[in-house]
Amino acid sequence: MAVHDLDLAVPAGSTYALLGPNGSGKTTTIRMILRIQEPDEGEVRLFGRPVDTHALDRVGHLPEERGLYPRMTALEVLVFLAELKGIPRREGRVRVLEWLERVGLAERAGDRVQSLSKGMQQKLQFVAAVAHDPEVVILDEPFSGLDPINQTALRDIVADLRRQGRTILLSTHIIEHAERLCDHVCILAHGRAVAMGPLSEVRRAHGERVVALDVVHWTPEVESAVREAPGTEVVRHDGTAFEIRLLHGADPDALLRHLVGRAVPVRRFEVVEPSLHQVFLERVGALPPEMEPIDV
Amino acid sequence: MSRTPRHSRTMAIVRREFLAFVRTRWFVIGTLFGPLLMSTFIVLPVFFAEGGGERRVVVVDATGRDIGAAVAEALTASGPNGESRYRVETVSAPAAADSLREALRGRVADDEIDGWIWLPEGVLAAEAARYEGRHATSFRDLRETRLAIQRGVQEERLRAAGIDPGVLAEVLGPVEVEARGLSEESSRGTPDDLFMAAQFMGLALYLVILLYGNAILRAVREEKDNRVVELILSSVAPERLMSGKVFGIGAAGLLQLSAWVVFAALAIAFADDLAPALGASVPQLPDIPLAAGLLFLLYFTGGYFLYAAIYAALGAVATSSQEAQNLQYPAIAPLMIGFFMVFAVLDDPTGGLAVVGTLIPFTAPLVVPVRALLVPIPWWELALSLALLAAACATFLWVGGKVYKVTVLATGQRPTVRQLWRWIRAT
Repeated sequence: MAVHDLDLAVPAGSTYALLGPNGSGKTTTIRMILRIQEPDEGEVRLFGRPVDTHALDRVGHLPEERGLYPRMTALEVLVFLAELKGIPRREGRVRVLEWLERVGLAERAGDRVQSLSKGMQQKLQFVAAVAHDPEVVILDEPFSGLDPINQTALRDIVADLRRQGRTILLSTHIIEHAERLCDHVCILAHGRAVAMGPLSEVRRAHGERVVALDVVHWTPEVESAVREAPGTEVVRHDGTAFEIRLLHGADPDALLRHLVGRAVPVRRFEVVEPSLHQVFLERVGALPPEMEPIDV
Repeated sequence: MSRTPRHSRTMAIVRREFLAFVRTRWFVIGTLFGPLLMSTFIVLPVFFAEGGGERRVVVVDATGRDIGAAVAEALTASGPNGESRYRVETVSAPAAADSLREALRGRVADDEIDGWIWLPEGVLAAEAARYEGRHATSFRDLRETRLAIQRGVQEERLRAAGIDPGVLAEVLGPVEVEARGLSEESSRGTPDDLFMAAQFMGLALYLVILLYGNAILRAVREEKDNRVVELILSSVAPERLMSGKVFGIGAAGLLQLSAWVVFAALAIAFADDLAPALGASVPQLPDIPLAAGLLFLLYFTGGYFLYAAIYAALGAVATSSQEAQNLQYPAIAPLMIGFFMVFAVLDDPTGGLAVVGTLIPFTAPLVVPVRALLVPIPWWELALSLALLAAACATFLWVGGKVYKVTVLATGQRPTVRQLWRWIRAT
């Protein structure tokens, strides 16, 4: 069984990340939302109602398994897919051409899909997910296989969709994508949700906060003053820079008062929200290899 | 936003499948040259058998009773329209037979003649005549030569017995037989023509159902292999996708069949002008009543849907195209049984096997049209057969749709029959 006891609520207008390593149940969750796969128990509701084909018309989907009919032209295949969402052919043509213009493929509209590069096919696939103007856009690993330039272009479009108030559900195994693009997150591991909610709440509730402290100059007295602050633990120390973990319920104000009281020459005092990284580490344990941080 | 109604989306799938299929090279070639190819299967063997060109033969007469001349006359009178391809030279056998044989062998080697017929002295008393030459293995040459020798020898025997060969030929002249069904609407024609037409119909039905079943299999596989299927299924239900496919490819099949019928009609219309130009004789076509034609269409449609559903389910169940190809053999076994039944039906169109074949939905699409061509089928048999076929179509489309739904997204391990059954019951 790929997913257990998942109780996921995606608020309208949010950009929601499904974050987890391969095999954690992201794609299964999406397939159940789209009624491609039936859940053994429980139900899925879209727009407040059980999912039916009318609801699915208002959803766009970029599947993880990419694929288009290779022998159709880019325009034909996209108009056909829009038609399946109830867009009349003529109108679909206009919209598809607009989108192709936007992703820089207008000149390849008449070319067969199989003659286009992998990156171009990816863009077509993305257009297929949005050309029918859906209220909900579900993107399963949208950035995999894209070069950095196309990743940036796609991120811009996702940001646009977000500004237009569309609900976006984005599955990814790249923590940085979830962190930068989304305002909500659900962390999946082994088919179970280990944390979910608005991003800031998830961070606060699940990770411990860290204070980044810089002092003007180092002395043994300064160091012992920092280390003796109650309810804290120095996790890293390098010359004049300290990273201090606030243990359960410790108040950053109390720490600052303690430091000033002990005459520590503070140059920088910053409370850092824990990263999803830390949340993940705390909730799941080690990061699986494919989730190691990358530069994005 | 305005959305189109649901049925127009099924139409979109039907149209896509239709166009994708019609645009393939395979379809264009098949439509244009299919009839040519099929008629080639029938015409070519005849053509090869008829071919062969001129034969130069020496008849060596060792009987001393002028049988050689009669054989030569029979040979030169053979062939259609009295145009014989034999150039015959008659010689009497000399005393030194061996040297003549050597000489003849030399002439064959020098390509002056093709062979010789040796009529020994005792040929009237059942001693074997011999044909030696280049074409001694040609079925046609042997047949014609044997007939000519027989005629020559028999004439001489008749003369010896005091019977006029002309009178005997009249007495033994051929009798024409025309077959006619018992009811007014049944087909008319000579037994040979009807037999040919029925055989051709059986073959055509078998081939077309097989070809289009395979086309469905390929279409399902293509979608699965290209991973398009997941995207499509996020818009439409699997049953809808499957029926769109079956109808779209079926429409392409109907177009192809119609094109073939038009070609055939044109060929028949212009046969009188065309045939002589091609050096062929105009074939006598049996008169096929409209009812038999309608039954043909009805059963073709039924058979197509029945096997299309099976093929679609197979394509969805298989994890690779290779596996799909292997899985199809058990599935088409009933179709092949139907094809073999056709021959039994040709032999005895009212027998028990013909009735059984009429009632079993898997064989009826082949058996019924062929039977209908030969004899009137009792109405209750037809009604029961059609009802059973319709029920089987509905069941298989339904089960096929279910199987398709639960397996089309599966990759990796192929499900067992037991698993399939559980899944189908669960949905």
